[in-house]
Amino acid sequence: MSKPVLVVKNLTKYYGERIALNNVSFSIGEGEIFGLIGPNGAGKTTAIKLITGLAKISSGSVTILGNDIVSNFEKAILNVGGIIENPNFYNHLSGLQNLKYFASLYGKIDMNRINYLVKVLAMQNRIKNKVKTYSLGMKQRLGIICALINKPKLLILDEPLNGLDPTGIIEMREFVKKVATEEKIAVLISSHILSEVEALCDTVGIIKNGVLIEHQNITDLQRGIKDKERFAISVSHPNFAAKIITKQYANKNVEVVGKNVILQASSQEVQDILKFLITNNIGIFGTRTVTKSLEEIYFDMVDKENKEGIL
Amino acid sequence: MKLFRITNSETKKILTRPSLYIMGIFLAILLVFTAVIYNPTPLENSTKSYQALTLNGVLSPDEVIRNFNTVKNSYTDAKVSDLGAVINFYSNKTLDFSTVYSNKDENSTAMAKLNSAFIAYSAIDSNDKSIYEGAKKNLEEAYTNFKNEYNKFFSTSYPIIRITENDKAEIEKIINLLDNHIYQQILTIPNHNTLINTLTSSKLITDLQKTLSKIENIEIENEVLAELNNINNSIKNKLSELELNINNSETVEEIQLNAARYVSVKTMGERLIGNKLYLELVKNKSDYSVNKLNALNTNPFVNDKQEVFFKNFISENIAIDSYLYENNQYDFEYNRNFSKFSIMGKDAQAFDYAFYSMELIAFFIIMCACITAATSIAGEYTSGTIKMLAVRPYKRSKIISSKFLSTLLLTFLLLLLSAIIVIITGIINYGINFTSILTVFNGGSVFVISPILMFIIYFLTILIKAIVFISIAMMFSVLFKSVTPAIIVSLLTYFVAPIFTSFVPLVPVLTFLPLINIDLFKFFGNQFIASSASQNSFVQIFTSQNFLSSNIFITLSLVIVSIALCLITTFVLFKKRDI
Repeated sequence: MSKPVLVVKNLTKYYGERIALNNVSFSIGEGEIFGLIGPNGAGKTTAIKLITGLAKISSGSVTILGNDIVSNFEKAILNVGGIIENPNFYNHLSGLQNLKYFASLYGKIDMNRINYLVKVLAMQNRIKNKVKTYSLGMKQRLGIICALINKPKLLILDEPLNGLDPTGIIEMREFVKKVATEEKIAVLISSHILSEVEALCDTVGIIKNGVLIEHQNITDLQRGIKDKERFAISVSHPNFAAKIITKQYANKNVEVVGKNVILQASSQEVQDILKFLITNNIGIFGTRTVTKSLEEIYFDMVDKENKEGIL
Repeated sequence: MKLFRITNSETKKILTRPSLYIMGIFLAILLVFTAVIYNPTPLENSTKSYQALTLNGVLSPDEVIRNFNTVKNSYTDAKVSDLGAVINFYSNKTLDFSTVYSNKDENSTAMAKLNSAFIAYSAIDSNDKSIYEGAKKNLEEAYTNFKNEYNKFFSTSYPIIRITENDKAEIEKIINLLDNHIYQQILTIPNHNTLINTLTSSKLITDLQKTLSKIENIEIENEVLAELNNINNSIKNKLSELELNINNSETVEEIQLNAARYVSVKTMGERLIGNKLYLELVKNKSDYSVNKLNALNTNPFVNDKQEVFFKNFISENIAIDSYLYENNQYDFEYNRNFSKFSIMGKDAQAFDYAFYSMELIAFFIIMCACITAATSIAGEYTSGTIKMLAVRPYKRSKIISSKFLSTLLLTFLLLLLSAIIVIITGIINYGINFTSILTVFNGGSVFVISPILMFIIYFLTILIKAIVFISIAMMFSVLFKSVTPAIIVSLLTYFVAPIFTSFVPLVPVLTFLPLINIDLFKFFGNQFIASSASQNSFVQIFTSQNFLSSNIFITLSLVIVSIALCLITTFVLFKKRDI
């Protein structure tokens, strides 16, 4: 793994008696895009507020490029750019005036940087209009520009896709990916749109009731348990095949989707199953591994937790 | 350096606010408005009125002297004929000295009676029953009489008699002891030897006499009158000297000068005597003397607070008059050539107009500063931009400091700009006069300073007032996190504070309330002008700060403490709370 930009250790936050965030730990490396997903009120925004120093940490620590957010706030936050909750601007100013104001807080205003970002995010036409005339999507884009204005090493985007149209979403996704690789930025994204997180993120964390219940590389997560991947076998007689496989391998959970039977197995087992099917005169047209969508994983996780909660 | 950077950005941001331009328009209107309504009414000027008489055509010295005598007579007719009468005028209206003295005399008589009855009693033989009973009765009567007189004396006149609390306690102690001995021992034990021994050994009677004599030694009337008579005589001498000068004068100019001096000395003397008497009367402030003073004052609503105020105002006037008198500077108008309000205007000039104008303009600018400060943090919360701002590389304390400093900077610039405009307008309309100003600092020391310096002092006191209200508004801004309540409460505080000052009764604790101790300019010889000379009731209500604390250093420390408390609350709240 590359050099960690953000290190979150045992982060805990109490609001009075209520625990909003419980012992959350993760880290994000250079160029890595980390997606934080979870239901409403799970603690995503709380986590972001603690990371950016907006709220006081009850226990645990947040370190950005080696600087503690509490004890060394100014140095730590210098490398952070972000939108928290909603992208809010001074409505009576134009987009450009807003950008200049925030840029001025970092010293000399770098107009090249502003112009570059405005151009990349296709805001040239409206940048001189007042922010109060902007749509939510435009504010989101302005928010991103504003977050990147100081060339941060950690970009925090809270619900960045809200209000963007489908083209905007794709552009934004491509842009974030590009920026992350080109500028070696660690990106922390929280979102409800799971397909987008799936398409964008390298790593995901699923957070629920203040606890980080799953945290791993997205491909690993999608493939399931490493030595037991999910396979789809395209066969001539799927229902029959499913029946005999269930009979032969007692514990296998076999699904039939169209001409496919889908099951979870190690590669050794798949070879066995294929031989077994051939010996039973079932025509095999092909096999491939199947990945679960993030949505499926998310609901699996959340439901599993719910069930556990009930029990 | 970083603080400078964020303050700079903050100031530029405030400058883009549309509301600031609305404020600017109002300020411009106000500047024009004050220029239009300023209507200086010249005071009746002794020098001028005399000169007016002489300048009607070319007159010979004889004619001028004749005119002078007319003027002199008209003055004496219209005012008080003679300085002795001034004293009578004041003393009749103030303290009923005669009552005090008759009481005191009666008291001494009663004391003497008691003494003699006591001597008579101790001299007789106790075996002679009839004489003994008679003497005993005499003593008892004398004592009762004495006690009644004593009670009357202290119940009616104590408040205006200068007797220390210790002395009074001493007398009461002795009376109590006498009570015990005489009533109990005379009436119960028919052995007068014991009583005599006790009384003699304890020296009760002697002690009582000694203590009472302390009261007798205080010559209230004579002491005051002696001082006043000194001034009176000195004035009389000066006046006759001036009269002689006038009679010996050869040119009209010379007569004019001396005649003007004559009028000045007379007016000054009258004022000096009147004021000294007044001060003497309010020295032992009590209900009794306040009632008496109500009769003295034409204003029937003199309350405790006003009395304290007048007391300070009068000591200021005494300081001024004594200074001028002792330095033989008879230009009576000298100390009046500078004022804040139109009614005091003599030869109105740029500085007079500037003071008059700045009063209203500063009121408005500080109000705008309150709104700006109340919006500064609460506005960021309301629009949600606080989250954009708080993730920049500045500690919370720096963010709040930048808000405070930028508001202060803008307020300062607006005040400075207004002051410059107002002075320029004043110069154009009325011309400028750099004659030094006689002023009294902190109620006692007299200074002659340049009007420019005076104006700078005035400007600084306005700035201090602005800092107080900006701090208060900042505190509410952080406290409420919402624009509307922050502005409402800040403005309420701003409007209510002066009204509160005008109407709170003079309770010692209240005089230490920070909000009613903001105006520092009153300590530069402007107490009276600031609080009662204005005809403009709006200005009077909202700008006057009555004289509650009599010391600039107490007031200044209260101001500093209140600024510090507001700012500490603001910083701590903003630092500790989650966004």
